[in-house]
Amino acid sequence: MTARSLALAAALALGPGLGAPAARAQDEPGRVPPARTVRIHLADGARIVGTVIEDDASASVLRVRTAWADDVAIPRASVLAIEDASEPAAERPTSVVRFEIDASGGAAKTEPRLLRAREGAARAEFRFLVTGRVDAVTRADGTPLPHKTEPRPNATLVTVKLPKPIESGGSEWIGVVSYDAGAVSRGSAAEAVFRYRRGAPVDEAAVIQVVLPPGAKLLGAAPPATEVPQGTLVFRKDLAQGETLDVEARFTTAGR
Amino acid sequence: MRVRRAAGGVAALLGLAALLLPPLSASRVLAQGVAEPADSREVHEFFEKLERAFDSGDAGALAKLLSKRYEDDFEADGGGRMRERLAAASRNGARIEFDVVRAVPRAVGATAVVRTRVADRQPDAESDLALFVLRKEDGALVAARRLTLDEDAERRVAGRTYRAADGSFELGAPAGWAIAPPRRKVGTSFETVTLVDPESEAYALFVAFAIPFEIDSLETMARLDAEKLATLADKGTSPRVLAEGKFAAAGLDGYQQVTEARVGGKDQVFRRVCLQRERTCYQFLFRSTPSDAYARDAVAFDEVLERFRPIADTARPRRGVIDGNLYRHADVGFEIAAPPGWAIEEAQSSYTAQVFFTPGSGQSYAMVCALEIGHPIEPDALATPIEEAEKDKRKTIPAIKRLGAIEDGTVDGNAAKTVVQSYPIEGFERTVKSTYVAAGTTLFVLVLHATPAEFEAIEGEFDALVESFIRTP
Repeated sequence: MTARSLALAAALALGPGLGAPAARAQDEPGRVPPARTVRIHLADGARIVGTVIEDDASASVLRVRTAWADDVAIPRASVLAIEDASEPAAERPTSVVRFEIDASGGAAKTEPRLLRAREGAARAEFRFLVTGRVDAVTRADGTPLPHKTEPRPNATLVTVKLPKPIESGGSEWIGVVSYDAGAVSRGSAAEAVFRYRRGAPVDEAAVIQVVLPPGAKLLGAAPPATEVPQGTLVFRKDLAQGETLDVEARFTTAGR
Repeated sequence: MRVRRAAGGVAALLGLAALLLPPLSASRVLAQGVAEPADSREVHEFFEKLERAFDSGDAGALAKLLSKRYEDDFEADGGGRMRERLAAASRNGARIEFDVVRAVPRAVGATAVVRTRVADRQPDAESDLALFVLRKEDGALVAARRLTLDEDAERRVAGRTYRAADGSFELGAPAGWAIAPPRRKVGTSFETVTLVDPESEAYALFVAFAIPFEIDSLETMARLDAEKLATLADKGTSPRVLAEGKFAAAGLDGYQQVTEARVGGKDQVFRRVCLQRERTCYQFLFRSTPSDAYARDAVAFDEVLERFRPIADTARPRRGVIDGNLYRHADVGFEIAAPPGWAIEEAQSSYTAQVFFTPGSGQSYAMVCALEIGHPIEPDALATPIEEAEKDKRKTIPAIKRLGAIEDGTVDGNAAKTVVQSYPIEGFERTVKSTYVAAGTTLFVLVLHATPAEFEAIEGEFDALVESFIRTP
């Protein structure tokens, strides 16, 4: 997901945004129950409630009519799950991380980050580490945030200065898009392997979305992943605090 | 695949219980019911007498009240220093105030938690909290000072119940027993509580600690414990296992061993119960002296186990997050990046946070521990935990040596000190590089544990790990 689609998803969401409650996928992701109001869960963690008005599996976007806006187009690749809106949403918070792997073995990573100001003082400047090159830091609405980077061993140190401080005890979600040139290792001449591990700070549903390079074919995924649409894997697991979700995707290298 | 780490620190940990036990020759069983009962008033009067004896400078009276018979206790628990302080204060014309914070009177003995303070020319003179055990001898109370207590932990004692610093468990003492949390050394992560019966030799030591990563099961720990006990037994005798096997209590699984051993010229029974909760071990070490007292003491030991209550995790600090090669802990406030190919594994421990980093192969590992101290750490004070840790380790590993001097530096703008040490563990030489970082009120310790050959190969990667460390708001 690009910074633009991250912004789109966030702009569409009326809920708590990037840290929104998770999907309870009652339907196979990507298949839309006809003539029903549905709740669509996006890779960012955002939720959209509306009626699907165009559901052509071959199209790259899903068109949804909402009560609060005109028809909106949602990139199909960012849809994690669609469920009946009459069902209550799950209470677990969700972390969603998306990787888009390219043919060179690098991966663009889009992730939400929570900035928190501890009790006692408002804060505008935040620091955090990112693996690889930082391409964009945005607010949840997609607005670019001024930031600077400096190299650290095996990481990049990002310093973000918010135009308006976060109040004492408050928090704000931002989006970070980065690029890790060494995200994929070669299993063999014809096979590439992507591995990623993520832990849960609280009980939550962790979602990791992995988009394979164009033309690559999936050879195996662990744990089992949903592949919707083809070439886009969605790993999902309810994690207790401290547990981790270790994902591995093996796929053919380009041209095989 | 988890790398099985070498046993760094295990010896010290396993030796802990033995070190914290009071000297075995320091007391004796008193016949019950042959003396007048001591009551709370009597305990208070005793300390008033102690105060008067001190004020009068009557060394004989002091010696009688603080019985010479318990001199070993004094030496073991800083009592020698206390006597020196008493003598110095007496020479300076100061007086000692004794406040009985709490007392548990029994038929022929009592326990009292007493705060002593040198009321001399220094208005902010340091006070000292200690557990005294009192026993009646020839109709008079005599006392032994058994333990220096932790002021913070003392506040978590309510009646016969102790609540853990992080709220993760409650521990209860049998009726008539004293519950006392000894003073914690800076940099130690284990939580220790002692339970003392003033009328017998029965004694319980409770320790909550993070199970070292090199120990893959409680059965392994049981084996190591048995080996340790064998080293304590008197020459020519060997411990006899009376019972051992799986054991469950308070909803937690574990194991127990009951062993008879002749230690310090006495036949004693040691009952060790270990209960596991994730990577935390709750260890109870009960001791009965002489052996035939075990049948009676076992009732009290069972009561301790029955009253032990692990508490849900809600009050505990949140965990950190592993994100690929990054680890971040928002609540403690730090982030760090692992070198390529290194695995990250978080430990549930009694440190504020503890996380391990292991290379893809070999026997080496790195570890980052965060310890909330509660007050700002002065850069100069960083040498103290280094010295203390080295001193503690020397008790079990005399061959420990420093490779070079302690080096000053900074990590992410915070004052830091780095030391490299070498010592053998279970026959294998280890090189250990430790960087202590003072970051506000939190002490961070970043450690590389490696074989000498691997140390040279991965020291650079460890340095990169340290260099990637950032403190977050």
